[in-house]
Amino acid sequence: MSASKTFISPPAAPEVALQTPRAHMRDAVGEPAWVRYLLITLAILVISAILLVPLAAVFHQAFAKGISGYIEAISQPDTLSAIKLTLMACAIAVPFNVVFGVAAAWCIAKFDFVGKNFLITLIDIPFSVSPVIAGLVFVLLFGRMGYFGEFLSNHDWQIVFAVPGIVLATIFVTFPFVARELIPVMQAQGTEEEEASISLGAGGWNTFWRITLPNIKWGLLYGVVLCNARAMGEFGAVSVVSGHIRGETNTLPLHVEILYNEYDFTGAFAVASLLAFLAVITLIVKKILERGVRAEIKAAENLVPEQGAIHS
Amino acid sequence: MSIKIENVRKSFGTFHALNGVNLEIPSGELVALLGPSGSGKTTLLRILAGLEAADSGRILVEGRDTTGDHVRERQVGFVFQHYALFRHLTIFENVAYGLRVKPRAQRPTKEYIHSRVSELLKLVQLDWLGDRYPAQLSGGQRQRIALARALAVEPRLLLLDEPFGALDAKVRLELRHWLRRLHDELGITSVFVTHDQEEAMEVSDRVVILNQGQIEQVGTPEEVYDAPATPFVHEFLGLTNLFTGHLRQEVLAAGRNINVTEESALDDKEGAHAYVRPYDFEVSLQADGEDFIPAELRFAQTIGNIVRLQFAIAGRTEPVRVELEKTRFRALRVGIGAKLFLKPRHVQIFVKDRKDEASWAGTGS
Repeated sequence: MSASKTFISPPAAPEVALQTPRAHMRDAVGEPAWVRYLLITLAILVISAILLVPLAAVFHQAFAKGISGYIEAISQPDTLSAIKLTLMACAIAVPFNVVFGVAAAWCIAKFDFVGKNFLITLIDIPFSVSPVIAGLVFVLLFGRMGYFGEFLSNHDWQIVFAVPGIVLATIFVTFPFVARELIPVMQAQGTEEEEASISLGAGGWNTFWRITLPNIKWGLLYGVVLCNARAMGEFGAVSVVSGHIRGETNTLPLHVEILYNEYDFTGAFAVASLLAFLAVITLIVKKILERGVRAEIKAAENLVPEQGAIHS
Repeated sequence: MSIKIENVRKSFGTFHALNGVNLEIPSGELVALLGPSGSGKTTLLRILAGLEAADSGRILVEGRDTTGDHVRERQVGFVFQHYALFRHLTIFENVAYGLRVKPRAQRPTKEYIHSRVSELLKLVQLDWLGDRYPAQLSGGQRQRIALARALAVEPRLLLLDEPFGALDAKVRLELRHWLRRLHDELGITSVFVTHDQEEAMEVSDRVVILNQGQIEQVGTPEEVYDAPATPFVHEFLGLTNLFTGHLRQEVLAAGRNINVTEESALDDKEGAHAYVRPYDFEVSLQADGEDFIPAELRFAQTIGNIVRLQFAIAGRTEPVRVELEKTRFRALRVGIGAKLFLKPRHVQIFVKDRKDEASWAGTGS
């Protein structure tokens, strides 16, 4: 039918024509050259001093005794056990927060209920509370003198100063990441696709797996990456509940501090370089994922207006 | 399938979206729910689909109460204003979706799904777009795909929520005609929501006019246009001029008298509304009788083949809107400020029944 024929997108000519005047405009509204270069130089200096130099320093110190020194430093049993513990805490905290984050974002973005704003505020608590306080809360709850202390020691369950405490503290501080990332994506997408799916005969479970999840996959991955980075790097809350038992309850960031305090600079920076390396990887992955998230939100906005006829 | 809506009510907080709606939709008809925004038309459609639950009232489908049925069980095809295509699936998979999610026991074979989807894509004349994604289609194409997707599950009732609302004027016109032809071909009972009176009149077998959560009138497009039940219906169906006053015998005193050309059955009642459509005026250079009203031309605008005029009448603040064919206006050879005479050819009169404020007695003359 000829309806389609009426939507040939306009030729690119007007856009080309616009480019010359636009270039002139930039000169007319811009600052003089020296101001621009001064500002650019300042920005580069500040970024170098605050971000690049310290990062370089970490790797420089780490390799101060050569590659063999570096490998020796990170292959010590205590370091290896710290790596293992950190990975384990992440392996529990991240999936937990994925499940919770998806459920919470689904609730908040797709339904209206009493107490919705309260729930949003609640999710944000870990952002606003100091991690040290968060750690202390768990000590107050599960420590020997805490509310559940007697019950736990009667059953011989150790939470604080043991692995469960570290996992709990990690979950607490990384709580908002996935949910916070998904809420805007889901809100932008609305509920029409889910309604369409249900009206076509799909059940709730089918609708979630086939429609909701594919639509939020980039946002979800992005949230997971941020959540994971925070879980690995968390110091304050974990420090309070860990007890700093070497080889048992020591995570990577805590191990860096211990080594540093013992004047083992090469060891400290070698372990720190692992975290820094992880951070760089995270940033690269994040950059790639951001493109996907933007596309997801844009697609949600894009599906409404009359545009994008590709054919002729 | 025939549908009977019985006394359906729905509120959102303090807002009453539907105030006791009763409606019967005969099998195989294409019915338009027409009304301004906030009139409850979309809410009624969503309740029919099961996407929204009524606060009270019943919905009977072929005599069976389906009020409590889940959306899945209603066998309803729903077409959304903004298409709601699954953006991560190809056009083919979008249309196949309803067949793929059927419970294993009822799920058709892959071959059947393939042939059914191809058939539907041919029906909406877009079979060459199967492997594209929704974002690569124009609005009109997306809406046709949305319709194909809804038809895939062989619904017994097709519901369309402002299906052409997001489209551009020309595409909208073409899709309208296409929807009408498609309905005649398939014969599925269909209900569509629109706020565009022209669209409702052009496409539907029957128009349901809603206002503030209540049905004002149900009838064929001719019926509602020629014999509107209430002043609201008359005003909603097109530009008009309202004269209020008292009705005495054939004369409506409205600041200045408007003479009713034919004898009216109504007499000596108060609070009458008389409506004259802009094209129902005779414009003349001199008064050829008592029923010509002196008027001064204040504004004239040519739009295509017609000229829109605004006249000032003594004792009336609102301008009187008149439409004339361009050739007839030119023949008058007048400009702004000219003193002319208007004679209403057709007057629609509504008189408020004093016992029941809400009901109106109407007559055309």
